[in-house]
Amino acid sequence: MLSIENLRVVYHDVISILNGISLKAASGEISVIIGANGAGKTTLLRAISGMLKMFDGDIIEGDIKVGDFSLKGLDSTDIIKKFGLTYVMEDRPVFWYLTIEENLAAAAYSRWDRTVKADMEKVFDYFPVLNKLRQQKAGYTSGGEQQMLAIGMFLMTQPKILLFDEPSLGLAPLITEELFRIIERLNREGMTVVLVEQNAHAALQIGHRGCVLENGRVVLEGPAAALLENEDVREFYLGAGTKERKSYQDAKRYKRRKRWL
Amino acid sequence: MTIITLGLASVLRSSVQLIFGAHSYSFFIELPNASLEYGDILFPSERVWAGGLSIIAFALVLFFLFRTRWGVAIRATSESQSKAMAFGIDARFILLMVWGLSAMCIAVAGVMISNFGALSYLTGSAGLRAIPVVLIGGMDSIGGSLIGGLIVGLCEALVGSYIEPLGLVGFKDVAPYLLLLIVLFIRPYGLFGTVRIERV
Ligand SMILES: Nc1ncnc2c1ncn2[C@@H]1O[C@H](COP(=O)(O)OP(=O)(O)O)[C@@H](O)[C@H]1O
Ligand SMILES: [Mg+2]
Repeated sequence: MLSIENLRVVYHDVISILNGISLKAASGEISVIIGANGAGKTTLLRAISGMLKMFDGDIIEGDIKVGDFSLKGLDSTDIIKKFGLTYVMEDRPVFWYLTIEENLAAAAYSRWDRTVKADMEKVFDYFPVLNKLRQQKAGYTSGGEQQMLAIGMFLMTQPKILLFDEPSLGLAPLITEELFRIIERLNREGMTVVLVEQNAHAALQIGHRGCVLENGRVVLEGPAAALLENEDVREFYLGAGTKERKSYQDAKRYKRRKRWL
Repeated sequence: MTIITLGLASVLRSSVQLIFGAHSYSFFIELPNASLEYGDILFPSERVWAGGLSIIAFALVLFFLFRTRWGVAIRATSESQSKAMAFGIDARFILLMVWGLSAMCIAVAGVMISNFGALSYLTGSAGLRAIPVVLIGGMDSIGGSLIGGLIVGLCEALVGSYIEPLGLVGFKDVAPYLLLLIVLFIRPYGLFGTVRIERV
């Protein structure tokens, strides 16, 4: 169980981005986080994975726990090793100037066990497209292939928990669909997943639970199926509300409603 | 890191000056004679040794960068510190390692350069010559720095023996920078700078 308790995060000591977030992601489930651009989704994942310092951010209040152990103050290297929690950053975080094989080796850098080679072959079994591109520089592969590689690199860190930041960003619909099937499969094989997505519909369909983030606060939370049915979510995140078109009036109505949430 | 390095350099230089004084010491390592002669061209022994040792150091660095786990991690970190951290590479340690590695290369170079003549607290300023070398070769190209080194060396030597006698004393030290200027006008990334991978 990954739990976030009343988390507050600032950048550069002054810019307050997360204003008291509480969330739970149960082991073995897919938890979906949706929210507009700038809501703080990426910041939340950075905070969990120990990457905040890298971006001059700080946790000023609250705690993040895996089971009973706090992740606060640990950096990403420790968090990956001790908790098997790995963050796959947005925008396909592969190394462009390294070959596919070198990318996988880089992700296994901190491992000294003898199964690294075998794990690499497992990745190539998992993603046959990558097998043909072993010696190709990652910068010259397609967006879909890069995202598969990013998942492969993630798997090389021997993870138990996946934090995935907008995996479908900039990918063709067909590739996105394949990607979501892969996430589902990882989850069926036991992976706990925290999935941040703009593609709310697809994400909520594979998710168990979901929440909506807005201005650094959780404004809605519940089973994924319930969120799919929720009127506000449908209207503002699924773009399929009862109204024909979002108008200024609607936006105002939503603002009014939001204050009650 | 760059600032710290420059600061450290000036502290070290001053300490050396304090401890050993500001005068030059003669410095010479006994090495078997390896001078080469091709017709009119003579390569003095200590220069041949310096050349040989730099090639060995160069090969070692290449091996380290392209054939070891640390090398992969260094190249990954140099591309993006945050991506590297996200996949469990301790970027701070990598930076320290690179710093140490370059210090080792510089130590080899320093000894070789001192071997050309006198050793004093100012010997370190020879390092400034590396600037046109890497910029002409291309900052991110490893082979480029080798070629850049040869070009700058040749340029200095030719200018030193053919142009300076015409009355332009000191032009030898300026010439590489003029060359650098010309190269950068034509190829902003240097002769062998990587073509950036661009996506649209
Ligand atoms: N390193 C940073 N320094 C200052 N502000 C930042 C930094 N990173 C993100 N922000 C700001 O934090 C807010 C939330 O960003 P982010 O977490 O990336 O949102 P999301 O991923 O939901 O789009 C944005 O307003 C963004 O400008
Ligand atoms: Mg984001």
